[in-house]
Amino acid sequence: MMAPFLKYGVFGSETSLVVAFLLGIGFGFALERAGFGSARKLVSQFYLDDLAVFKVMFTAIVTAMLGVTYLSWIGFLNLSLVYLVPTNLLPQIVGGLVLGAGFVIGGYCPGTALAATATGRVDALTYGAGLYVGTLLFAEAYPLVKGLHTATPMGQTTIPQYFNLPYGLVVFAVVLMALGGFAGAGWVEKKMATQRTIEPTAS
Amino acid sequence: MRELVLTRHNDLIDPLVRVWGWEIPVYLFLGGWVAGMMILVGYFLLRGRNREDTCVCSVLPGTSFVLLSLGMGALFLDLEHKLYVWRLYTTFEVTSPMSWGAWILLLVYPALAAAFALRPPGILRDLFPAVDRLSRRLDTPVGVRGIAAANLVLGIALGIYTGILLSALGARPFWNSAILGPLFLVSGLSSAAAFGHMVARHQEERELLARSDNVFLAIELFVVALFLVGLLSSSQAHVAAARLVLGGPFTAPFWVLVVGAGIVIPLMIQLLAVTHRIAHTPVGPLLVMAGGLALRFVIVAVGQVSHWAKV
Repeated sequence: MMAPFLKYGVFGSETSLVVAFLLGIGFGFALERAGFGSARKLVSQFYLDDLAVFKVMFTAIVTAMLGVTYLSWIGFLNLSLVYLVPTNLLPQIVGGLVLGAGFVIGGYCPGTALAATATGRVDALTYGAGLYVGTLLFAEAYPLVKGLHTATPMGQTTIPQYFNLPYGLVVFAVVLMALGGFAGAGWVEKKMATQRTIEPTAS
Repeated sequence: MRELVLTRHNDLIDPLVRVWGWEIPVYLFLGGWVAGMMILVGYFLLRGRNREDTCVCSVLPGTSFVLLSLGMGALFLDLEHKLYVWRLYTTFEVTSPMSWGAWILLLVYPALAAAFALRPPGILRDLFPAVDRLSRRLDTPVGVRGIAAANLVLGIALGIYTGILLSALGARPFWNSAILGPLFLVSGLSSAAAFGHMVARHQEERELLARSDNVFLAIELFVVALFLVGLLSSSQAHVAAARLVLGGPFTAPFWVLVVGAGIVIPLMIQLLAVTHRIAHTPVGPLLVMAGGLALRFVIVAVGQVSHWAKV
């Protein structure tokens, strides 16, 4: 076993911050170059006009998941040492809904807002500033929201552990889900495009 | 010798220097930035661009004046015996970088004032007729060339001096490199070009400054590499000093704030801007300037930690 590199001491915590920076910048650069620095492009997924964001993000999830799985199978990555964010189901559902609402209203998610800020988009800069103000408000109001934040603790739980399923089966199911999602997204996009061409003719 | 070693013991300098806070890095940054702006002013004046209303060279001298004064203010705050500052001007020590710096700074002000007087704001001309008369007197081919040469020479001297000030301190291996002078000079030039890029009103000038800044950033990257190679191929103490930013406690600030966010990312952003793939925005220039400030903070902090003992 060699990975996770930090856990096996291949590099120290200082270098890990540099690696995190490089990965973050690479991710941001890819997002921006793929057109995800545009709020118009990002929001069109909610109007079902352009589901590129959904497809790209799901592809990223599946790629990372398969990569981690294969690296674990060949004995390169020790999965038990990979850090998992503890699951708190209720606050994470509420947080997801708040993030989604913010995404529709503001046109960005936190990552794409930062990527778009790099190209000088003022709306993204405003969104990014709001992100920090929100973080500050959350920290200041923490005693009020602590109950919700710590509700329904489940510890470091994975889907295979929770449902007592083989790890490989869950991976296979997620891949099938992604393939189904891609086909469904393609169908929805075609349907919306057809509607858009019919509507002006009808009016 | 034995007595020297024993009496030298001081908790402010052994084994680490704990004497320089924010004042010195801020001064070094502002000094380097002003040095870069003086070089740009000299270049623009030699090209005769001071005749154009929109030339950035009419903005840089006044800005430099204010920034240098702020830097000098920070330097003054750092002085232990503030009332004795005038003594620097009672002598000139050829072998002392501090003495050179004190006199260079004294000469920089009139050079900046002359560049400012070439194109003073209209309101100053109206309020003070003497300014208008001075401007007309200076605005001759010989006068402009003289002011350009003074700004170029003093700008280079000021930029290099900010680095020499640290590299002359052989007691701190991280600073003990001849590359620090050119590094601070090119970093000052990139900050100046970035600022000019940000405030330039003329599209052609903005493009020119963005392209120049990209060249300066590329050179800075190369000089940073040379600086590290120089340390790594020197004595054991220098190697240990380099390791402070190569896996040591200053790795993240150096590589993330100075190299990553201060050089590489703005270089990428400005390359996309000059190839018209994205718009010119203040993001790249602001990152360059923040990177220049971070460079001074990191270099000063790492140098104070690096030492010759117990290597």
